[in-house]
Amino acid sequence: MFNLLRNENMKIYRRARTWIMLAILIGITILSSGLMAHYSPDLSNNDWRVEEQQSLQMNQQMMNDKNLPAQVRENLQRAVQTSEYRLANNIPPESTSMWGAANQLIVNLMQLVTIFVVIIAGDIVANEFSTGTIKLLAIRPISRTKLLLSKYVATMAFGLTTLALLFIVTCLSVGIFYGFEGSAIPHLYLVDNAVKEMNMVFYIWNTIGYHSISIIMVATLAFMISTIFRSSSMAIGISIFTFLISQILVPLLARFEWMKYYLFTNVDLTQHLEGLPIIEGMTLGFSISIILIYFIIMNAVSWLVFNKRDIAV
Amino acid sequence: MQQPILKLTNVTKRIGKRTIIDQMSFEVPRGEVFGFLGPNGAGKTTTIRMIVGLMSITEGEIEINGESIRTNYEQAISYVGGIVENPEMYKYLSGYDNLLHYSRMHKGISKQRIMEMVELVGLKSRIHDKVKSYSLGMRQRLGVAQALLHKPQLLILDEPTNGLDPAGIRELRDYLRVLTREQGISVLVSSHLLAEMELMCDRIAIIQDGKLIDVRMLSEYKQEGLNEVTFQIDQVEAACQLLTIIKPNLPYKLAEGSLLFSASREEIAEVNTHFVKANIKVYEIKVHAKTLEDQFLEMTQKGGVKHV
Repeated sequence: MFNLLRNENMKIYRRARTWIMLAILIGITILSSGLMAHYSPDLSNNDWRVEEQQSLQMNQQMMNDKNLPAQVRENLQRAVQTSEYRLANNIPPESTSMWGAANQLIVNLMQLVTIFVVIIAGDIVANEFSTGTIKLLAIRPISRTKLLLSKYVATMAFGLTTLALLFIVTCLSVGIFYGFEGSAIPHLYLVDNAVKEMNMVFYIWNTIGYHSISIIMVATLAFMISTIFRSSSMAIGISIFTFLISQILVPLLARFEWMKYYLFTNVDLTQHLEGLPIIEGMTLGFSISIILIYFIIMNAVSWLVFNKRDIAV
Repeated sequence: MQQPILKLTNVTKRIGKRTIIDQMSFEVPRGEVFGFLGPNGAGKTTTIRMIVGLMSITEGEIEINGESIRTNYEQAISYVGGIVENPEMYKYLSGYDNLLHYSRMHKGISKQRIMEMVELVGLKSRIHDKVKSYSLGMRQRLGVAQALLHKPQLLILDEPTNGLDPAGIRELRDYLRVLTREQGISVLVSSHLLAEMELMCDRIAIIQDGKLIDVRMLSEYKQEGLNEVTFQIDQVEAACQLLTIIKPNLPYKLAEGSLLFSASREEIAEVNTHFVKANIKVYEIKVHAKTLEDQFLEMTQKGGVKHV
């Protein structure tokens, strides 16, 4: 299995295409952080206490409204608690340091990562068929299950590598443009009504983790289409289209009850952290179940097709 | 008798309602070059794909070195090295990386073994160049190296000479000789080119429309049957009369100064003796041995296929 992974990695990283994608990612990251620094160079480090005080008062006033929905009240309560903790312990908000920009940039650029991972996922099986190399690959003393698994794992590993690269490049370039001052400030979060501190690196990877679910699912979709239709352009095209159109359609169709069974309504689990699901009645457990069901079905289909179908190219 | 390296028993392949391969059975004995001959579309490639496990078998059994390809795939296929149609390689990798790639899929292939194969196929000077830059002949040679890496006992080559120039074909033929004679590897080679098979193979199986028509040693084909013979003689009239006495029912043709008929080797000698005894001068006896091609066409046309 280890040798199979080495083979798949060799095939991914010896292609100019892969390096072009990584170069584009690095270029866009640096360019975006440069643009951000250009258009909003001021991190307003000095008067954050004043702003925090203002927003604290505003939130407290809003909470006086008796008709507030419970969920909104809870969120306001959290904001108030965090603000009080900030002022008491003199911890400036993330937006006053490079982290605010880094976090925002990473979340946005993960869309680009999704597209790159889909290109690898959609090509990794189909390409063996279109070049005919599948024949020499399949006549080895290795089961087709292992072949397919090595390709899937290699795809996911590529995704992780790309994310690590995105993280490093973003932190460096944002730090260079905004300065590394304040890079030690923690992220604040609440557990059981108590404010806790979290290392920012850890926090950002936490965010990356949440958004990676979407990458994994779109890549799995591309992988499945790649295996069924043996056409990389089709796999890449359909997957990216589905991914992009869902971002528009999910909010539009959210009034329909059945939309809660749609994969891309569920992939963003952060909706449950804020307690504001896209469709009312969806819970964290529900979304995880839906994601798992799609995950299992798509992989089972890939596996069945790859194992059972004749290779006649 | 030694167990055959490859054994097909009543192998059938159906796709939908169409029967592609119908009840095919044959054995490839060890150490032979076994030719698989048939017109395009006869089912050669399908059969080979079933043998190497690329296609499933609808009915029947295929055993390689006694191991079933259906139930014991990984063991059975480990005895096989192959090229199915063109030797497709990763063009963006070097020749060496391609071999490294395949070597990792078998147990215990050393870097040294890879280099041995590279030398065997004469690619040493170009092995670190990208396959993109290789000629078709070089790719074919890389294909052979790839197929031999893990010291297979059975080498399967599907249409190996497609697109090769005469020098390349000759080279390939020489490898096959070396492999079978010196290393005891058995070879199954398919082709629709007869002349080539005649030069390469010890035994030939002819298939048509998914059915096995005949399996024979090449030497048997050569000896079999009647030969067209032309006698050049001085007294054609007298010779005709004599011939009708010796062989009353033998059809013959007359030409200027010569007599044409079909006969076995023994009969030719017999007729010659009679002519000489009757003082007919025999200037020349020309035997037109039936080529494999003639026999092949005869056999496949009996099946009702028009040869274009």
